[in-house]
Amino acid sequence: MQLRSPRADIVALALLVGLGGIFAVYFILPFAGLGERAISDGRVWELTRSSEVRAALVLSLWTSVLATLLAIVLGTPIAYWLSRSSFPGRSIVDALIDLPIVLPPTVAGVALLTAFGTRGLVGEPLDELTGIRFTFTSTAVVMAQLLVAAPFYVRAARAGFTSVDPQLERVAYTLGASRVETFVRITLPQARAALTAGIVLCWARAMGELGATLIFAGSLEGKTRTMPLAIVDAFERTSLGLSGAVSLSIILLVVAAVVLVFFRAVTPDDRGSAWR
Amino acid sequence: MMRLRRHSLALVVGLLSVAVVSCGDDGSSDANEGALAGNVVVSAASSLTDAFTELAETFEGIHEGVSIELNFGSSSSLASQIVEGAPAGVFASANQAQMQVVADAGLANDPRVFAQNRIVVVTPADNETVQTFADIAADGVRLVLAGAEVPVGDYARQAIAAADAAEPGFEEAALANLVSEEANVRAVLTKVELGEADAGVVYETDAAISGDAVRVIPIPSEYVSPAVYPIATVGEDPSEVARAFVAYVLSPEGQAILAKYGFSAP
Amino acid sequence: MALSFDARLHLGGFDYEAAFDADDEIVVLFGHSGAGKSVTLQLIAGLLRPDTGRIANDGRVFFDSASSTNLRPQDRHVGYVVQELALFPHLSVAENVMFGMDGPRSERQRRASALLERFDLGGFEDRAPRSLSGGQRQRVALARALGREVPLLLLDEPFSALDDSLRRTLRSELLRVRREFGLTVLFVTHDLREAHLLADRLAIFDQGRILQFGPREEVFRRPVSRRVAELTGVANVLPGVVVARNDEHIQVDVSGLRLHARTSEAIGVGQRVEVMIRAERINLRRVEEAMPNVVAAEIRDEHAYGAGHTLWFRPLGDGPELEVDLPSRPYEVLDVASRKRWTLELPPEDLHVVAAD
Repeated sequence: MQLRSPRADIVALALLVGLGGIFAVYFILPFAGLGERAISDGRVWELTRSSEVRAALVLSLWTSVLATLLAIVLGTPIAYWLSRSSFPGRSIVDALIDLPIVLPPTVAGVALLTAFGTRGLVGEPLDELTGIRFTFTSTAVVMAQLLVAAPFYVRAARAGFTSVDPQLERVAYTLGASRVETFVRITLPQARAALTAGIVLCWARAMGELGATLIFAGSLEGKTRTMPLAIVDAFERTSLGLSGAVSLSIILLVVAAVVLVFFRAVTPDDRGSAWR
Repeated sequence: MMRLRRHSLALVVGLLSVAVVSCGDDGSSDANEGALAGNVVVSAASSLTDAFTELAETFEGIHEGVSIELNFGSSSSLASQIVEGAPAGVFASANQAQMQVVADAGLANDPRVFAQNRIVVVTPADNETVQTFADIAADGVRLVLAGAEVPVGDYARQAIAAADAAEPGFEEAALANLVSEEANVRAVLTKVELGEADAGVVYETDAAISGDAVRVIPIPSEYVSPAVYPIATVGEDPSEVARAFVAYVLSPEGQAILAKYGFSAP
Repeated sequence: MALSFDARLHLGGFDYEAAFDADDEIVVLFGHSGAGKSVTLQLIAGLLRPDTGRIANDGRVFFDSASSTNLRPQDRHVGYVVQELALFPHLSVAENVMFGMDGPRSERQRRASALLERFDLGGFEDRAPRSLSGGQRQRVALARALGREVPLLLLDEPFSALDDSLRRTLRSELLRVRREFGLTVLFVTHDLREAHLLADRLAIFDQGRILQFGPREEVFRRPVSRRVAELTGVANVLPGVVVARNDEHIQVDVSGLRLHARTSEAIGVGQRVEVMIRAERINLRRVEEAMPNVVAAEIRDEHAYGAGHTLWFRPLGDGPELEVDLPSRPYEVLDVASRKRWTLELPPEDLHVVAAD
């Protein structure tokens, strides 16, 4: 068949609808499965109120929020710097920050162990000098989340800052605004949508962190067993089995949905932002 | 899809220890007439990793058309997978309880005990904190166990409970030292090898693999009963290959390989 | 003297060196892109730092390499408007204008409103910049730059994104604003007509250097070099040799044609020179009269544009090829369309002679 013939477009349209449909169904089915289990298995609702689930949820929430805050505090300056400067080796710094995004989190866990483990690069002298150890602590959970999730924020923030016209900042300087004032009053508001998206991504990634946490922080209820670890743990336990895993998954799903809706609501639509 | 997900889950569960040895051909060659052909998924307890890897290789050497796919994990997670429909042909568990889970679902055919093992305390070679089993309850010891439903974790807790009967308060003190519940025996071992934990409870066979990296401290025999390993084909209509592999594990050749890795005969 | 500027800068492969001054006037910085015009504004605004030099306005030293003075852009009090305007999109018109002002908010609001009123933007205070037309945005940008009550306004091609009629309006508005506020204005453009219209004085930039700086007519009439002539649109730059000279009168041989001209420069007989005449300065005659500086020629090619015609002539005898601009009216009166051969007159007072490079 000729690409030029009118039939080509009809075939293309059919393909579009067909493939789009398959894709949509594929995305809906897993959630439908979760929902079906939740309805048919009475234990799922019981388990959502269990103390283990609550402990995992509380731990996951505070560690992921803390990791995200740290990502913002530590990541914003470097994201801004990367967006505004060019220097030899810049692409290497860029790649280094992106690295945890493309690496399996388990690698991040092993890497953390080699640096901050009891016999790690920093961990060993720190242990000897102060007795401080990271492994098996909630701190380790936050560290694992930070390493794996922060790049998502830095990437988004860097892109956000890059999209802000530097001319705006330069003009602000000539209008008497200090660099700090310019950043707060001009650059940040301009990059707000991108920053918000980065924060959500970062938080979601921290919330979902499993591999690095398992390796670096271990798994202990209330201390290091976050939601994803609790799901794995529940799945292994024949007494809870899939019911436990499903109930934890449902909770994660609800939390994620609430957060997404909330951020959609507070993030300015770019077109409307001028009407502040 | 289902199977894929399970596999990736098993991969995560067995993070540090799982070695999925997967052989290519889907039993395409049928050289000799009457020869075995086909492939089979063998789900085996983490503690069997090294022994079963060799068993599978030897078995494949004998039967040219056979390919064995090994899936290691904690017995509890393997049992969960099988009950939820994972396509395993053979299940080798590290305790009777997890085999019973599969049997209760009507999926295990005639489980037979094929090996025995013992649990021991391991401690990093250069760490003097723990000298005896009693020391794991000492103040400030960082103790790592497998999860309560993982067989080795279950055995360890049984031993601790038994010691508590002799010395009240031991169990509370020991479990207060618990810093992490790992997904399987190999993860426990790794945490000790790395020096992150002061002590962990693993099988004797696993401790032997670590060699000089860890020091082995026996647990007084009055506190422990031997760990028994049952094996069974899985499903209503087990394949020829699955049955042959189970028979091979129980045969003198199979037993010899298991003995090499420190397992004792049933 | 309001602004005095003298700076040298080496930036990557770009070598910059320029010095000029400006009073209460509009100085147009003219040249192609990359010539160093925008760099000049950035050096004055403090967005770029010279390697060496001295920049001062009304006695306030912005930069002086000798005394290691370098004021921050924030402290220079210079209005800076760029081509893209760089209005803050998330702020209202009034907030944009108030951005550079000091003082209590109500006071700043009052001043912003008053300023917007002067730019014919009363009532637009709460609008978003993107809801305004191009010309309105342009005026907001000007008002914002003047919000700090600056003595010096730097405009970097501010009108080039606008259409012609709007540019005309804004140019006259700029002239009015400059007078009302008593400002020194530096205006960067690559548009020759805009330069001609606005400039009190003109600086011709090329490859990081000022080739010529002076009153507008001076620069347009008397380019100091072939390059300046080309940049300022002198169509006829004719190489020749001086054959005679007395006092201020000079005779130059151009391709066998003898041209009479005036010059005060020290150019001697035998020297190679460039003779320049703008295309609109050449007269067309029907008959050959006995007078100097005429050449018989025929039309080789012609091109009509809105306001007039450009004609290219080939000499019938000795002489150079010439380009002539003729407005539509004389073109019709002379009935150029029906005749090929003409006598071209190059008035001596419009010929400009400089030594060849």
